[in-house]
Amino acid sequence: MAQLENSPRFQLGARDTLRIILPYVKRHFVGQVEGVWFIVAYLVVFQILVLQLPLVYAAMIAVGILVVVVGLMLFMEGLRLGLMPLGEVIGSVLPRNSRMPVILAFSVLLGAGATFAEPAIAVLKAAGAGVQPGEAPLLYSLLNDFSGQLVGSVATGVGLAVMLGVLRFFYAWPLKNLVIPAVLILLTLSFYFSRIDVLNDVLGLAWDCGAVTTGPVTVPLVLALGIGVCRVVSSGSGSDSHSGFGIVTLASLFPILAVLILSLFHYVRDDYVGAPYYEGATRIEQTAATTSESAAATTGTDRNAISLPEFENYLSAGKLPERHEITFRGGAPRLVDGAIVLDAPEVVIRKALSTEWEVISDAVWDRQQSFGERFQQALIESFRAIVPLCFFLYVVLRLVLKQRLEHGADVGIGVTFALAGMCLFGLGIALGLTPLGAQLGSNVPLTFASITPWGGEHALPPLVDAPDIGKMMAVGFAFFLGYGATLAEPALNALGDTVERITVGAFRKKLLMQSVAVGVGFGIGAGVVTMAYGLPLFWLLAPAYSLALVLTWFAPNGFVNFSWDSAGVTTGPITVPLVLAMGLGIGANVPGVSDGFGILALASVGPILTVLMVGLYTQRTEALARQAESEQTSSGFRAEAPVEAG
Amino acid sequence: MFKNDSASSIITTVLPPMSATRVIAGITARPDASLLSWTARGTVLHDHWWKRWFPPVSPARTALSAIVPAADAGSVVDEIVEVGKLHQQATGAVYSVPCEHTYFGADYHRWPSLPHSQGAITAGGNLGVIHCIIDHRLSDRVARSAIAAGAHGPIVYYCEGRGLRDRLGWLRITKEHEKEVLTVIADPGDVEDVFDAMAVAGQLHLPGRGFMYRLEVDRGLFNLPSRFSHHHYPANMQQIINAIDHLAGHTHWRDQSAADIGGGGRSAGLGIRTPASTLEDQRCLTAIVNRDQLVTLMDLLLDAGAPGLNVNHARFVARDDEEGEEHLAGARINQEYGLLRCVTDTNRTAHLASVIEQHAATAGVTDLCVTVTRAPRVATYLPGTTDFRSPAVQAA
Repeated sequence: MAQLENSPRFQLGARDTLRIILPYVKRHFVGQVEGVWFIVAYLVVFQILVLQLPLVYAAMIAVGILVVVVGLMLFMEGLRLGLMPLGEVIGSVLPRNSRMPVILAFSVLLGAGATFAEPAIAVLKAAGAGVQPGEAPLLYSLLNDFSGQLVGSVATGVGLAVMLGVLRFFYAWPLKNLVIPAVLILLTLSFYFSRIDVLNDVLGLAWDCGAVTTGPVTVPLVLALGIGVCRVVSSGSGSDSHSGFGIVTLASLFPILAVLILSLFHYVRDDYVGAPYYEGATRIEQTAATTSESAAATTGTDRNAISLPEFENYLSAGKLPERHEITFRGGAPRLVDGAIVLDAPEVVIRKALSTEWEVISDAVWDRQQSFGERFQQALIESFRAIVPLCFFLYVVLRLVLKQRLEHGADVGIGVTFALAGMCLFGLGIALGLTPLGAQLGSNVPLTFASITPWGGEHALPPLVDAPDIGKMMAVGFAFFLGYGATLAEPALNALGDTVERITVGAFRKKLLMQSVAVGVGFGIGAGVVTMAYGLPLFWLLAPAYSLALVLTWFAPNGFVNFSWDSAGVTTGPITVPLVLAMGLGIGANVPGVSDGFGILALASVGPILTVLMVGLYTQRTEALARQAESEQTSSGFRAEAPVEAG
Repeated sequence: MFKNDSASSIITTVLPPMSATRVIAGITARPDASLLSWTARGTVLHDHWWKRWFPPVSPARTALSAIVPAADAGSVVDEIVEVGKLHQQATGAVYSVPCEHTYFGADYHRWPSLPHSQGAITAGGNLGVIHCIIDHRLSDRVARSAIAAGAHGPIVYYCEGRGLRDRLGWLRITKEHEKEVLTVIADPGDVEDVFDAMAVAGQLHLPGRGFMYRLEVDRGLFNLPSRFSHHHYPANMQQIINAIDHLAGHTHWRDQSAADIGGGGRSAGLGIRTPASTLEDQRCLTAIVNRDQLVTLMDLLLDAGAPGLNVNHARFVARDDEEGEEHLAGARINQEYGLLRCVTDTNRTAHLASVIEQHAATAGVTDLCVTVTRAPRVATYLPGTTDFRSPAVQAA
């Protein structure tokens, strides 16, 4: 535009530029610190004060956390400037410049592409690292032999979900009408699966697939797409201003169905490990030797025995090991001069268990972690997540929709920020949060079992003698872990911002984030209860989802939309490693539990319940307030300003 | 100001979403009538300590706006009051701002004027509507001060600011993207106090805080509550009036309540004002333009010297006709419009108006409507002023 080129640009010097940039950077940095400080402080304090164990690799963790904060800051700005405006523009132009088949094809491709861009399969493989082919054959096959099919079925599920979600905007189907039947079908299938041993193992995997599909790049894009479409399309008599949501919900439910169908297919065909038509290479006799970082529970008295050389040292030089305890045993007791005297007791000298009070262990940096390698890995992952999607969207915008992008430079800056942010974020998580989570995860069972702490040399007894109290402590830990990790999630931040923007501030971001975080906390606590007591997953999943259905039926439409969406956004790059590490740690110390599946699915249902409850409460207070006002004015006297001059 | 000028009024109404649907149906039943609609929220104040982490959910509102010929303003306002049941529901407001000058672009969907005219409109300036554009972190404080000064809870919607920051090249990414617009409609006795209170609370005399202006309203009705979730708030004027009505058993006492207390009544807490010093020559230029042409118009105005623009987006609503409306799979595709506002002195406004008239058609901006209204009072940062507790006088 000729006018733009002639428009006066102010040339700012370096100092003035800095004066503008520094408050901006500070504002966003502090904002991200506010989200992340709780989980970090909580983990550190729990390890040091409750478990009384030293923090290993402290310097690396500190550096990692700082990198995470910087990465989050850049990523969130990148979302705001680049990805979300791009999605919204496409959403608002798509209904006007193209026809229905094109719109549907675009939706399917977007959904499937997003799944391949942010593969959740690595996460699921990590969760299933301890699965033995002998114990859970179908599950093992799905994760190892048929992993390509697994990803494909998840991608199909997500693609169909996005398509259905976009169709919903045009035909004004309330989200309730889609969610309630879908969840009922899933629950029925799950009930059938829980009756058959082989299929029961797959339940956790299937429900977790739904929880992990939509990642921190997909969610904002899909949200913005929905918002853009709803801005432009008004179907029915009144347009519900909250109706841009719902795609994320469907994208979390459909993959579950897809995976259940896939496993049913293989079950019927009998071609998994150990079944007649199996074509893979694993034999059940071989034990898959995958060990997780948390060592199996060692009963730990071996290291605390006084060895032969130490005994000989005592005989010759009279020297006892440095930490020892002396106890008396036996002897005939007599009461002499108001004191108990034992005749000829046995004196027993034992090595005392180490109770060194160390806050930070000597190992401050993991020598085996190669910074360069991690950085490269994070960079590749972030490219893979962002670039193909943005490229696809841009190509669709220019070629199919034939629309120029306003402020293309801003979007470019935004995408660059998102790339840099995601790369740093991934690096920081690998350096900082993953070791911290692994430590905590392996050490938490110390509350109810005797284990060797992570990085430690010998075993410690459980903190609390009664195993039930110890397990409840672990559940309490899990609640705050879920709460804190959720507050730091970028996708949830993006959802909160979007909800606040769409409702023009009526529903604040803080309210959404706090209710979701509390819900996730309860969900993860419930998951740990399942693991610690070895309960079948279905016993907790079915009542939770049934309650969610009941609440959905009664809740106002606007709340239903973003409450189910908040379930889809919760399990993200911060929550999942922490929860999995904890799940593996606890699972290794409870007999009979082999994998970490299931906790994530329960973590997804918690926020649905809490947000729907907030919605019902709001509906009730509104009704009461309206009643109070109509009573106030129905007395016949109206407070009105003088009407009409002349 | 414009070569093809006409007299019109901007009628704005704020309603709960369900009433808004009824009102839209009622108004668009008129031939060739159209409205712009956007979402807003009411205000709920929270005082419990735990509301810091669990803030209450504010009530949703729909704002509707239409530019109608001046002669029809009365009937449209009456119809809105009728259909929206604004006498009874105590949740809505409607007001009409008379425009001094109006310009319609070639493609703009304008209301037809009815053949009979209802005579000249006397602008009595009875009500005042205050628009305060402020950062979202400060809006709560300003809302509280407005309520404490005796107004209802402000209606809030979002707008984007455009101006200096956009000319800085890539640094425009540092801009906070959205500001909140607080709208307060007040009784003639309260409006100046409310304006002062809001200006002081928002510290508008400091640079970068925000902007506030008042428009004249010639007719309107408002029944807007302030909802508190804590009983420690003093009652607002409406609640006091209702209570006295109830105690007295009639409303005639209102005619008898003339009071003239020396000193402006401040010692009695009444704050009856001495005549406010008004500003000279401030005008509010409002432009309604199709979203596709919005950026072109904004650049045009900023280049022509507009000090700053506030933009909010609205949806075009008209009767469901087959012609001219796009449909896709049974859903209607909406047209989006942007509402631009610029408040500045008369000379500059005249210059902007002439720029629009001359260049709009050539620049391709034809789906456009521009109105100019008087803004008797403005509060903002004025370079060179040290103390702001006296009402702002903007230098020409």
